[in-house]
Amino acid sequence: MKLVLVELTRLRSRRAIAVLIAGAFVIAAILLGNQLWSDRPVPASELAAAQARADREAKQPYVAREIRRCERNPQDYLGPTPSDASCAEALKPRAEWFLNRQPLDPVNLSRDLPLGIALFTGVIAVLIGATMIGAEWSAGSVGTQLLFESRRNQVWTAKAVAIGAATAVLGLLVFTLVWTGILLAYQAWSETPLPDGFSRDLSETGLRVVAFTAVAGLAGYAITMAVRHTVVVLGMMLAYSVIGEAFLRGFFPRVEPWLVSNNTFAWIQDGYEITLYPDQCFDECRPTVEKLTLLDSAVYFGVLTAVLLGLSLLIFRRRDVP
Amino acid sequence: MTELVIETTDLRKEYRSRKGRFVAVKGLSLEVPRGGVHGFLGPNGSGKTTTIRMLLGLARASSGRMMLFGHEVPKQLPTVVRRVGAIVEQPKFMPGFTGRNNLMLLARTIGEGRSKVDEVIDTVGLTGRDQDRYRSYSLGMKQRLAIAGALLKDPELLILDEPTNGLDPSGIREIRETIRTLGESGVTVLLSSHILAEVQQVCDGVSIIGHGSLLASGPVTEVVGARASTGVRVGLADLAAGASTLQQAGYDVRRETEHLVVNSSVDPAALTELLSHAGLYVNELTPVRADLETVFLELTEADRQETL
Repeated sequence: MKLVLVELTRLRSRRAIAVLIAGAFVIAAILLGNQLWSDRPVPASELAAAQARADREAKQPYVAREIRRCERNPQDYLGPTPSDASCAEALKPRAEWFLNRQPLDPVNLSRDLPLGIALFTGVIAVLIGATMIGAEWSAGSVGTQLLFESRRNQVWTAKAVAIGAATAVLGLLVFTLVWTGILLAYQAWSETPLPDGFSRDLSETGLRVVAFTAVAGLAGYAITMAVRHTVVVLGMMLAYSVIGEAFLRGFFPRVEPWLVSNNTFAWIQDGYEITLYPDQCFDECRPTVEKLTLLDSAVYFGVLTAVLLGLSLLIFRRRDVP
Repeated sequence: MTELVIETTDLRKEYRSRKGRFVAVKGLSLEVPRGGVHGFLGPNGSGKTTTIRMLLGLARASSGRMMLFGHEVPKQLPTVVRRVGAIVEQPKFMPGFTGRNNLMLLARTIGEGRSKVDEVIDTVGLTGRDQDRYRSYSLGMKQRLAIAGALLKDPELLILDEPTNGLDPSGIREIRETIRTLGESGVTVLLSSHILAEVQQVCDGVSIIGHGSLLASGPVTEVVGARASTGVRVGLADLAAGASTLQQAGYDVRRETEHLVVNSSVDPAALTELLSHAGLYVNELTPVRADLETVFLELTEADRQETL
């Protein structure tokens, strides 16, 4: 515990890490501000104009024609499993169709917004993990620390715990900041209550974002501890994200379920469907859809993290320290 | 029996690279007794730093045994590391942190607090500059901070690898005084240095290594006395006649460019009398004192010749 506190102090004292954390909050604030601005309430005059236009459109003959066609073949219009909504309800022009922005909808946002948060906090967490230990290798201070605590397992673990905890807290704070803003705005702007179970689902998603951020920080730490250079890790990250996945997708289509991006989607969004196209098509190309479940992605990230951490510890234990 | 604080037996370190194998330390058996200042000498690349790094657990030995305070290392290093302070090569701290912050982090690692940090900062004379960032320190200040770090543990053994590298003369003197004071206070200091005069001034014992092997070890006076010749330098107008006269009288004489060197101890009065009787008048008579530098150069040169 003593060593973990020392590592947390070391982490807190690093200016680069303070800048990264501040950057995370700035990005979160921009994300929140942009979302609230684009979903801000519509003024009454604009809403009245849109309603008037919807009423005018509803009287157009093409609307009645489309409703009749829908009633004959509801599956063509309402999908393979038509809901209770009638064709008239579904096809009759509504005021929101003629507004240039949609009202704030937390339920709808709860699918994509957490993914955005996870992606940028994940990148920042990797940078924190990498720069924290990369700077120590660069300065040579790891050797100095080992002169005071020679048990390498303990030193490695204390640093890992500090980085994991710090990045998890970062993920939690960013997620809480963004969603507190969204929910407060919704409370102020809308009278419609949120559906039952929304808070629980959002909390679970939040926990997954926190776990993802911590794993990203640990991955950055583990790789940097092994290769001992921040720049190498940043290069690897950039190469993988820019060309690595595109290359794998292009040459090995079957690798889709093993890509970091797809597993990230599955982890944050509680499952993700991947469309797989056959290698060769003769008469017609029928893609297959493969579902990556939350459990699949949990196992994927669990194993990946365990392997990275294990290798990192092994290398740190065995290699000479300059 | 003398208690040993450092003991290595057949210590070996090999590095493997694409270019092949390189043996940095080759069967080194070293003994450093408790107390005093012990010099650890060797030319560049002789394996001094590698040996120190292996003792401190920073590098793995390929084979051989190492003991610190009778505990086998690296296995039992955690038991004794609290008793050993060290500076290995140049000081290594986080450049963006203040000197004090760097020391605080190390102090907290071993359960020490602010008062200990204040104490060591005062000991090395960094008070007033301790809140400056490490990167703004001069080389001398960095060395002093490193010594402060080593003193945080109140070590019984202090290992200093080239502690005066890059220091100006006054800095070297300060460090030398610190080392001497520590040695006198009961701390065992292992001082690895290139500066032979410095080692001879402050060290009680010395070990000299070359190409990873021990060449000589023991109290400085014994190492110097056993290996370097002493004698008298004699200046004469006619060196050939002088050499002949002295050799006839049974002296061991070596002729150099501008003078003769009479090896072994001689009575200067008898020597001048002998020469004056032969009509040869001495214009210089200087005792030749063996020093560590002479011994070091003799040993390492011989080792180099053997290796070639």
